[in-house]
Amino acid sequence: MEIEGYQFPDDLYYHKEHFWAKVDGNSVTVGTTDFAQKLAGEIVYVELPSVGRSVEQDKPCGSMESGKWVGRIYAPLSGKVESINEALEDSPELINQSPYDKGWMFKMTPSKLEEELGKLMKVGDLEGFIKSEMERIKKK
Amino acid sequence: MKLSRLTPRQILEIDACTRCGECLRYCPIYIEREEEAINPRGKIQAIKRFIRSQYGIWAKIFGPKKLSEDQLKKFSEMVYRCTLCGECGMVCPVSIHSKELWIGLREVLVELGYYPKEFDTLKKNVLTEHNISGLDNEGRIEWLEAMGDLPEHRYQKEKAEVIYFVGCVASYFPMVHKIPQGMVHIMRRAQVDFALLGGAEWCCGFPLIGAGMRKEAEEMMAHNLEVVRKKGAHTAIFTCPSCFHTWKEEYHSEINLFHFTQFLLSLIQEGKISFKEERVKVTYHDPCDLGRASGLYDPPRAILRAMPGVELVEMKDHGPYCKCCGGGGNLEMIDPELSAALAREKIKQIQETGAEVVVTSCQQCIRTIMTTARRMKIPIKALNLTELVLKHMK
Repeated sequence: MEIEGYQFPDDLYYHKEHFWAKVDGNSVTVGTTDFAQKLAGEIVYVELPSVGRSVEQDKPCGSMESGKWVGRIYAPLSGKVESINEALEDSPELINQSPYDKGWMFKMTPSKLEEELGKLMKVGDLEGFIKSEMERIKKK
Repeated sequence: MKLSRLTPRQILEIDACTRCGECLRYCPIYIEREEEAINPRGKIQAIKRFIRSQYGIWAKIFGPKKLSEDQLKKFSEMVYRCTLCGECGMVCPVSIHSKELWIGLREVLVELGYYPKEFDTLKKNVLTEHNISGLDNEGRIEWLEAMGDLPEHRYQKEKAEVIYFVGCVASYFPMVHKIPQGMVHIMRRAQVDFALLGGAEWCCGFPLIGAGMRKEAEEMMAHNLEVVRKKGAHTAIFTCPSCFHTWKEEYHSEINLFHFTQFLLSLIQEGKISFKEERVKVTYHDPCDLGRASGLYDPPRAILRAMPGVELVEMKDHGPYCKCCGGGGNLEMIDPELSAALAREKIKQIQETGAEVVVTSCQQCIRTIMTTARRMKIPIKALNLTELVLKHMK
């Protein structure tokens, strides 16, 4: 689905800090959205959570930077990090080029999937949210 | 145009410029763009014209000429397209302290409201969150949490002899987290009693001073001085050359201030740090605020000389003549393309040395060089001296 010129695939869950979660059985893949990558500009470095680390929903677990901007990576769900996208170390620009595919950040095993999924948004909930985020950013 | 932000010496310096053009041979911006309007001589001529139009003989007879919006906008563009590297002032035959003059002119422009709008965000971030990133200031030591194996006090002790002032860039930007992490490892192994300020550390004020907002920086400086004094520290050390230089020039405190290159050199001389032999060919990039601004060219080189197996090859322009990497003076915020062009020139000089690694003592230089190198797909390796010291430590 396209909202205000930004792409949001239908099969993902979205976190209010602009991260997505793709649920595949007991594995969740995490990345940042097209909206966030466009806002950030060319990503030049990413610090991902280490493999084996436990992350908590809504809590920062890494960071990324682009030029003069730096932002945190938030965990959309709680769980244990199983693997990270090592390609981002040398090619962080994959986040810009392919935010939902080659630019994925980490895979995790969720610990409270059922309970926490309800706090995330589906594509149908996004339109108003993205518009309000655009307004908020304009005012900054 | 009010000149109250300029000192009488600066007014005299503006008059003293003979237009000899010596600065043009060194100004990295002019070398890159070859525009008279943004070189040091061009800027001084423009301000001379403004002064004449406001205070000259014709202004006395007919009244000062109103400066047009267009003139002020153009002048603002001239003044802010500069990395504040200070090379023009160093080579000026009539000793114009040009870096201070550019900052003074920025203050005049801020007062008039003609400054890049990006600086409003910077000001807001620093004044509300107390750091340049705009992220929560309590998150200043997230880089520490990633280290593991930490003592219970997490270096945020009530009292300590030495304070390690980390600075905003190394605290928040992940590309350079290895600098404070390395510094903590080194001090731990050398058994230095030190503390971090954590969320009580505020921006040192340098980005605001460089933007022409000195008045706003005063609150930051007063706060930092107070928290360091409360810890009972006699010494503060810095990995950021700009924080170090700002503390030295603006804070006027009794605290002993050391850049980490000075501090580590003294630890080496006291025998608290020793090295294993490891062969590597390096070149050294002098950060503007450590070299030209603070006069520290030798401590980093003395550290490199103390490391067996390390071969130092100098770049064509080094020491006082080292070219800015492009990351200074907030230039990246207002003209990223120009900043990157300067970085490309720097990378060229690094490559010409044939060194395997470029070593520097500044986090911003690492970010600027590495970001441009990655974009150009040039496989160079830039390390902060803390990282190299830690790697070679016994």
